[in-house]
Amino acid sequence: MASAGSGDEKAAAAAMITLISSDNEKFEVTEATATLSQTIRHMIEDGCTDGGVPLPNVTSKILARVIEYCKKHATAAAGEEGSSSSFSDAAFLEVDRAFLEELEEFDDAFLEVDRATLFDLILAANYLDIKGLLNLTCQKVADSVKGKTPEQIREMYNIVNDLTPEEEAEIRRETQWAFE
Amino acid sequence: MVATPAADSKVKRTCARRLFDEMPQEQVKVSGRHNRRKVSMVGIDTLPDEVLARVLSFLPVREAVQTCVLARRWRHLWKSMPALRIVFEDGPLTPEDVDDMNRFVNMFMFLRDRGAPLEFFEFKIDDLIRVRMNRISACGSNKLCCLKLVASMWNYLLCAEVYHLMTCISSPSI
Repeated sequence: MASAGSGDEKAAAAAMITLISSDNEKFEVTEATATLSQTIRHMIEDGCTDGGVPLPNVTSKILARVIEYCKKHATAAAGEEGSSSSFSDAAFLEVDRAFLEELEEFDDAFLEVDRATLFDLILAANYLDIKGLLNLTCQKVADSVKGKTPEQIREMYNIVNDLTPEEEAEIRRETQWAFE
Repeated sequence: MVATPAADSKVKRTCARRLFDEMPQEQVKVSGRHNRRKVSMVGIDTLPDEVLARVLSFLPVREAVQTCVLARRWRHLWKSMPALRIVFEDGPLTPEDVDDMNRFVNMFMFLRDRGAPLEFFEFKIDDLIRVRMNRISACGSNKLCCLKLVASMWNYLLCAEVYHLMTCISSPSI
């Protein structure tokens, strides 16, 4: 393309990627949104996104939520690259702070899901390699077990204790330094 | 050792799940090795090891280690947490507390899987400066992206250790 730098940027921002869920639903997203996923970023770099990106591990229900997250968080990155020259630093910081607060509210609301959906989101974030979403969802799980005893955690998350009492006692002895 | 019935059924169920979990992954570069799907039960065990280790890294570090008694699979998970948050801020400490923390940090660093990637490392000491950090630099050889270190007081030992750690971090990594 022979246009100026800003023109190129605009073209890149407008480029659309088609994501195809496991149940064959198609989602059109901007490249900026899609590249929050490192997995998809690599595919774009390798030039193999023509005809859509099949995501056999992600259902349309979960993919829709993931895209919702990426759209919201991609705007943060886009704001920095866009026509920012007219902002003074102070105004920029102010906008930044407001946006971060909004983002936090969004994340909180985003996490209001049942456990099955939360786990599906975690698996999708892991598969698509979206660090922000992965950390957000993992933190949610961690918060739910914070301060609980092993027994309570097992019950809460259907963990079958496959250790014999002797084995468990041995592990406790070995790891006594963490149980004091 | 004779396996208990509970252990037995667990093994069978895990195997069956693996069978059904093989998803087609053509043309996609997948970073996680196992992308297991939930089948019918929504247990935390449906998540792959590297994800569970990440979950643990958001717990207070002592609690994270204590998950080793949950079940066989959990025994060593804490050793590969991708982020370490070692935070002590419980107010004034007795010399015994300091000894405890020393032992904890040293054991933790000694037993941690040093091959595991480390993305984030936060070490926060509010009240004490005598926690020896000689084990900490041992993990600097990993790919460490972010270091956050908070201490209300600094001493020579701490500075030397932090310097060592920074040297490890700034060494070229991909």
